[in-house]
Amino acid sequence: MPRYGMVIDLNKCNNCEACVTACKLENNVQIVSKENAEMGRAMFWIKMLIKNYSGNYPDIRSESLPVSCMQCDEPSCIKVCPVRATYKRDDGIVAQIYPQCIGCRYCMANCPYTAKVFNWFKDEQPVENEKTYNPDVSVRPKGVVEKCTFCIHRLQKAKEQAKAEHRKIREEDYQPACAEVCPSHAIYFGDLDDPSSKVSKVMRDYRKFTLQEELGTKPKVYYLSAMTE
Amino acid sequence: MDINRRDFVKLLGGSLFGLAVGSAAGAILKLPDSAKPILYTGPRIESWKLTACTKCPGGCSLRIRLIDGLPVQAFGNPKSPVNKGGICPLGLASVADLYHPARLTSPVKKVNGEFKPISYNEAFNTLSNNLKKIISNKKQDKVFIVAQTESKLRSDLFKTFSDTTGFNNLILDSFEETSAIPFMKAAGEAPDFIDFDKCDYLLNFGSQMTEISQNPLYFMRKINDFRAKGNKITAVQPKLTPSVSKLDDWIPLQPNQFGIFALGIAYVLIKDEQYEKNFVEKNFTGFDDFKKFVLENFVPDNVEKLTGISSDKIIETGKKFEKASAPVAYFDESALYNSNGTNNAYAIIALNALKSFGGYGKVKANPFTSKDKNEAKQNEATTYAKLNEQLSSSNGIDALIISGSNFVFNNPNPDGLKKQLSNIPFIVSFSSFVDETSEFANLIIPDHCYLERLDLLTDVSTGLPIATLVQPVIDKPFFKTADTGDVIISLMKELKPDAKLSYRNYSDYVKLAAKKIYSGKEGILMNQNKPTVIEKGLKQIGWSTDQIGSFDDYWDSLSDAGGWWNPYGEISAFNPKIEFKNIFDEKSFSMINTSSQSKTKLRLNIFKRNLDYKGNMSIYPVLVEQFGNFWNAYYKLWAEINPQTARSLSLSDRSKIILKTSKGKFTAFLVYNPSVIPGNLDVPFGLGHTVLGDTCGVNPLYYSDNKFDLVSGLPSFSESSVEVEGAQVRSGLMSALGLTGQKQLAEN
Repeated sequence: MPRYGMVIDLNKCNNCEACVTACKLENNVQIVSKENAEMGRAMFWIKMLIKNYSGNYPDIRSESLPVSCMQCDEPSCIKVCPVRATYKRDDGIVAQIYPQCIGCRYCMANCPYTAKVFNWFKDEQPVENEKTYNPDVSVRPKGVVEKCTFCIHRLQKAKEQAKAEHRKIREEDYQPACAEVCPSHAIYFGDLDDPSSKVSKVMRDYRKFTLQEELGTKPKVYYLSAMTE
Repeated sequence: MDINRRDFVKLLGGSLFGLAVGSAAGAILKLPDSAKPILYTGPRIESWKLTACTKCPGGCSLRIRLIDGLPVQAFGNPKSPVNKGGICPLGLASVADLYHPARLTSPVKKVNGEFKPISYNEAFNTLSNNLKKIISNKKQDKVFIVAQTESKLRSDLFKTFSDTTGFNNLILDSFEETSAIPFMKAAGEAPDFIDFDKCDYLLNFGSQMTEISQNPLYFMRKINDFRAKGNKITAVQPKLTPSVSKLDDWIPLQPNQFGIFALGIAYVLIKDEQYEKNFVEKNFTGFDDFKKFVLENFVPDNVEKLTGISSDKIIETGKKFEKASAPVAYFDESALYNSNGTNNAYAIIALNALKSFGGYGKVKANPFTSKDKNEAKQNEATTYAKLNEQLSSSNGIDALIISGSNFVFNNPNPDGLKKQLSNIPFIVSFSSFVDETSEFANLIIPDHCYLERLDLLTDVSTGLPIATLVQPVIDKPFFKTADTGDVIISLMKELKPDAKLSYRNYSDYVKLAAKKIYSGKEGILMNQNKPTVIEKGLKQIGWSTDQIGSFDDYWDSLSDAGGWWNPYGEISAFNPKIEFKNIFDEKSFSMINTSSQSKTKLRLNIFKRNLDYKGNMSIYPVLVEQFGNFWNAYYKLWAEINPQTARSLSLSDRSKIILKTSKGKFTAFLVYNPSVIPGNLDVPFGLGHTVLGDTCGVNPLYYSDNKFDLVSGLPSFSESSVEVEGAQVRSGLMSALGLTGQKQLAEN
C-alpha cells in the first residue's frame, strides 16, 4: 500500500500562489462573502503564509511557504472527533466523511497547523464561477469542516484508469492540483515508501524539515528550506 | 452506443454531481440557450483541448478541460517549452471569462447615455462611416488607436491597418513593445532574450521577472536554474517582493533613482577601466561625453547622497558587474513607471554597453520578425505621452479606437481623462466588458473570449522561436461577439478597397503566419520529441524525416500539438550601435533627493501583484478574494509600513487608517512589514474598479500625482506624498521603547 506524501522545495517556490488558486478551483472551495471574509471565515485549503522575517532592514529576507493539511501520520484531528468523521486511510491520506461530520469543530481546534476550515453557510459561489465547478468534487454542506484531501478524487480516477488499462498506477497518474500547476515545479508528490519515486528521492535532501516536528504529529508534507548564502 | 466502464463511472459521478448542483443551475446566467440543455442533462463526458493564454505576455500553452463540450478548468500544457505544465493564478481563473455575467453579448451603441444592443452590421457601418468621413476630410492625424495586445500577430495587424488607412497615431501597448521603447530609440533594435547560458551576473532594475514580465513562468524556472549554477542576482527594487526575497542581494531603491544608481555603477567600471573599450569605441557614439558626465557627477559618494545607498554597496555592486564576463543590467516596462523612466532606462542601456551587452542575445533568422521592426526608431513610436498631449491640446481628437486597453483605470488622472474623453466625438471600443475606459465609447463591438478565437502567440524571449496556438475550444462563439482581427481586416477593405490584402479574415492571417513556419521546415511541434543529435545531423546534410505533407496536414498537426518551437534555433550576440542625443546631462538626471520632506509625509509606493495584469483581475472573484490573503486583508486596500516608521508616527499594526494625498482621502488597512523601505507606504494596485467586475477597495493610483514618464507616457507609481490622518510624530523615548499610540493610551 502506498503512503502518499508531498515535498515542497522552498528554494524553487516563487510564492506565485498558483497552488492556492488551483486548489480553490479544483475542489470547489467556497468563496465567502466580503463580510464573512472580514470575520475570518475565508476558506482556503492551502494558503501562503509568512514564516519569518530574518535579518534587519535592508539586509532582510522574508520566508514564506504554502501551508495545507499536513496529512499527519499521527493526526491530532482524528483523536478528538466524537463521531469519527475524520479518519486516516490505509494510503496515509487523512480523509473526511462529510455526512458524518456534526460541525463541532474540535478537529479544527486541535489541528496545530490551522489547516481546517468550517462551512458557515450553504455553498453559494459567485455567478462568475458557477459554470467552472469541477464536477468531480461535490460541494460540502453547511455546518461541516473541510480541508485538503490531496485531491483524493484524482486518485480515484487514476485507479480506475489504471485498472481499465490492466496496469499499476503510475506516479504521474495521480498528482494533486497544486503539484500539477506549480510553475516552478517546486511541489513533489507521490509514494513516500517507494524508494524509486521522485518524492522519496527529494525527501532525502539535507534541507528537509516539517512544521512543528516537536508535536509528534509526523506530517507527510515536507519542506526543503530555501538556500541562502 | 458502446459505453465502457470508465464512461459509466463518469456518467454516474456526473449524475450525482448534477443532483448536487441542480439547485444552482436555475441561477445560471449568461449561457446561450443552445448550451443549456447540455448543461442540465448532458452525460458529463470529459474532453481536453489545447489553446494558449492571452492574459499576460507569457503566452503559456493551456490544456482546457471540457465537460460535455463546455470548458470548466484550465491547466498548463506539459509539452510547452514556455510553461512546461505550469500555469499562473490568472491563467487558472481565466476560464470564467467565457461565462462572466457582465460580458457583452452583442455590439452596443450609446443612446442617451445608455448602451443599447445593435446588430453587427449596424455597428460595423457606424464605425466605417465615421472613419470614412475622417478620411475624406483628411483628418487622419486626429485619430488615435490604442491597442493593448500581447499577440505580436495582432500588433502587426494593427500596424498594417495603421499603414493602410493612414491613421498613424497607433499606440501599441504591449509589454514587449513598451519595454523596447528605450532600446529602439537608443539603438534601433532591442535584445531578444537574456542568454542564461552565457550570463553570469544579473542586475535587475525593477523588473518583477517571476511575477509580471515578458515571460514570468519561464523566468521562474530559469532564475532557479541560474542560481543553482552559483550565479548571483542583485535586485534593485522599491519593494522586497516574495520572489526578490530569495535573491542574493536586494538594494531598496525608488524607481526614479534607477538611472542615478546605474550611472554610479558605470562610474566604477569607467574609473577601474574595466569596460569593453573596443566595443564602446565602435558602437557607442558620444562615449567620451558620457564618460565625462559620469566621472564628473556620479562619484559613489554623490550617488549615496542622492539615493541613500551606501557608497560601499555601490562599489561592491559595480565590482560584481565588472568582474562578470557576461553581465546583464535588466529592465523592462516596470522601470518606466516613473517620471524619469525612459531616461533611467537609457542609463541602464549605457551600463550594458560598457560590458558590450554580453549577457543578452538575439535569435538568428527570427521567423516572426515583422516587416517594420525598426519603425519605432524611424517614426518615433506613438506612446501614451502623445495621446495625453493631444487630449489636452486645443487641437483635440476626432476619433479614438480602443482595443484591449483600460487606460483610464491605469491612469492617475481619471477625472481629467474622463472629461477629455467625453469631448471626443467618436470612440469605438473592442472590449468584452464595459470597463472604466469603454464606458466612454459611443460604440462597443465586443471581442470574442480567448477560448472562442484563433491566434498565434509568437515569442523569442526564451532564446528559441516558439509559436503557441490560441484556438477555439468550443464549437462556435457563445454570443454575437466578433473577433477584433476580423473587424480590423473588414475595416481595412472597406476604407481602402484598392488595398491588396492576401487574407480575407484573421483566421487566414494566422494561417499565413503558420505557413511561414511550415515553409521554413525548421523546428518541431510541441507534442514531438526533440530530435536526437544524429537526426539533427542528418537534417543538416539534407536528409529529412518529416512526415507532414501539405500545409493543411501541417495545420491540423499544429492544432493537435498546440504549438511549434525550434529547439535548435541559432542565436547570436546582441551588438547594437547606440547613440544618446541630449540625454546624459544634468537636466535629465536632475539629482533630486526624493526622500520624504517632512516626518509625517510618507512616499506612496504603489506595487503590483502577479494576480493582476494592467487592471484585469476584478472580473475573477477567486483572485479578488485571494489578492490580500497574505495579510488577511480581504476585499480592501491594505498599506504596508515599516514598523519603525509606524511607531515613530504612533500607528498600530492591523489598524484602519485614513490616507491623505493632494487629491483626497481614502482608507486602508495598515499592516507592519519590516521589509518596507522606511518612509514608504506600500499599497497594491488592482482593486478599486468603478465599473469592471468587483468594485471593492480603492485604486491608489487615482490619488497619486499626475506624473508621467515624458517619453512612454506611463504613469508614475511611486512619486506621491501621503499623510496618515491622525499620525503624530512621537517622542524619541516612546519611539525607542517601541510603543504605539494605542499602547501609550492604554498605559496612560
